[in-house]
Amino acid sequence: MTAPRRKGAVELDLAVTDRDVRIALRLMPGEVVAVLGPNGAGKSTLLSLIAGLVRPDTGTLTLDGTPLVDTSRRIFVPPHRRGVVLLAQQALLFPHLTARGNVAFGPRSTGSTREDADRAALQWLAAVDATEFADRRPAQLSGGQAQRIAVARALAADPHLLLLDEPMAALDIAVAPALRQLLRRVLRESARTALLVTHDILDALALAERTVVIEGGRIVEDGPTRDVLARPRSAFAARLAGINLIPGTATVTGLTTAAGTPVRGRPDADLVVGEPAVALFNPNAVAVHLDPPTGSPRNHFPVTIAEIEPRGADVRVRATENPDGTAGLFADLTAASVADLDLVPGQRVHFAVKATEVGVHPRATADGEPRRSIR
Amino acid sequence: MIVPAAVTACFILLPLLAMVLRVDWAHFGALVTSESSLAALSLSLRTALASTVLCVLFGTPMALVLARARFRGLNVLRSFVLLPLVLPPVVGGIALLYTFGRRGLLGQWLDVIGFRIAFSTTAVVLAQTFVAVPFLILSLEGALRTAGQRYEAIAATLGARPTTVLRRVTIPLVLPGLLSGAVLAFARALGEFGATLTFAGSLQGVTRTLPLEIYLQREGDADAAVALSLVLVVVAVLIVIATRSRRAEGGL
Repeated sequence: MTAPRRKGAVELDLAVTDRDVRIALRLMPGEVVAVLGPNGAGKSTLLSLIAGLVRPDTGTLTLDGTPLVDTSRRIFVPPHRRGVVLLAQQALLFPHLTARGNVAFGPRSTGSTREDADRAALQWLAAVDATEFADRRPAQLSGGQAQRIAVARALAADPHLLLLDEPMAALDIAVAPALRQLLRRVLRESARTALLVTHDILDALALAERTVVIEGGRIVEDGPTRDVLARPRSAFAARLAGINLIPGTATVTGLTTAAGTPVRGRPDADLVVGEPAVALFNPNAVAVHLDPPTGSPRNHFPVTIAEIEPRGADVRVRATENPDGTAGLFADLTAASVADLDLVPGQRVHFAVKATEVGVHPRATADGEPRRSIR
Repeated sequence: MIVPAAVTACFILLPLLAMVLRVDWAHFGALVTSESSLAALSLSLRTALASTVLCVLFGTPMALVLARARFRGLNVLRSFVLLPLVLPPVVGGIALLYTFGRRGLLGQWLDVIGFRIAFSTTAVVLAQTFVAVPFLILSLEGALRTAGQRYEAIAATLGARPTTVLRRVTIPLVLPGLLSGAVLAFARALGEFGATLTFAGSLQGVTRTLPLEIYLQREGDADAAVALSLVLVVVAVLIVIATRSRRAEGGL
């Protein structure tokens, strides 16, 4: 396995006029950033620009201080000399090569001897638990197996920057969590800078500490994943997210928050006890009680109401921010029940949610929390 | 619909049947192994193979340009490259004669340095290549378009320089299309008549290929012509079968 590194600092400010895309972004070495946004917002264009598959009209792109693109100086480094690897929605394994040949392709192309490339290929196949498929052709692999080998192929090329374009989107729902877990592991172990385009907030939560939202070819939001999802400022993030998030550490029954409050829920298949986790639940699954509910198998959280805002037919009751500044929980109620309960801002109430309504998912370690050591 | 289709099938199969019925089976072996027949058969195979190689060497870059490049006039270029498909072969022969003939555009200079192409075996190969190369280009360009550029893009981001991408990704991906294009080009080259006769003449062992031999024999010895024709029919049937099974497995 590769030693941890601190390379992959990216700085870009690129524009494609006819697609109306203008994006400026900085990535720290080893940072994993999720890119959310509606279809056609420019997410894939961003990746193609960074990979060198699309030429920008104007702008600059540097990787570890080396200019890859600078339109004012007529610099355009071709894709094969960038050290930027793209992992797409489809595995796109070369159909005429075996799994091993596919993974060895990157090292072979960059000058490794056949033996070294082959050894690297076997190591990376082992790293993605695909050793048994080494001599199979892509046609003999399932979608999930092929995508695992595509991950190995991408990492075997030892990129400074890894671009992931919805790598889970084409997979079976049953297979996606395993690949997500694999990506979590390999991204963490290699401390590699990565940009992850996704439609799935679970991907963003599991893999990325930071999330940017792109709408209409511009970055409209940029911040810690948890904040972007819990307190969306852009219309898109609000539609996509609009969901309650409680971070903590995974337990057998759910998770425990940093303050020690247990949250019960349905643990995801790829959740590992003791690992960072996040509990998610819909605001319309939340019931509001004036007194603490007793003797029920529910989670309940004492909160103070910060604001009450009408949202169409419903009313959203938002609790005050947590002491650490993260977003407060919120509940969507009918206007009638808000009136019945006579809720007002500043009031102390209890939010209750059934354990069956709470999904518990893996979470990327946020800055400041200890990173698990490299094995 | 079925009746006209049946008429079409008969229209194609009946003449073949009529010819097979006329084969003089008793002397078939002797007819196809006579000295002039063997000379023509061997010349045909050698020249058709040589022009197939030339088609692959010259047609592949052109197919890559037509499938991948984007510039003004690309469609005009494609039309001209495919012109030999619709051009009467005898016209192609005339055109080649005025290019490579002794007083031709290039031929006069080649003549100075001692190269005489017209009415040589080289001329046969050139005439066959001229008429056959569009088959390879068409087939390969289709395969390249079907394969798309996604694999090539992935290969490039993995660090492969363009020549490596071509050698290790593009060519292997389109290999079935390249092979069926080469087989079609070989078949077209093997059957070449008009351009060869015009540009290369009909000298036994040098430029008289199988189709020319058949045409000549038809006058004197119709049985030999029929027997040799059957040989070409068998080759054609084998080629059709070969390209069909390749299409079935290669998906092209």
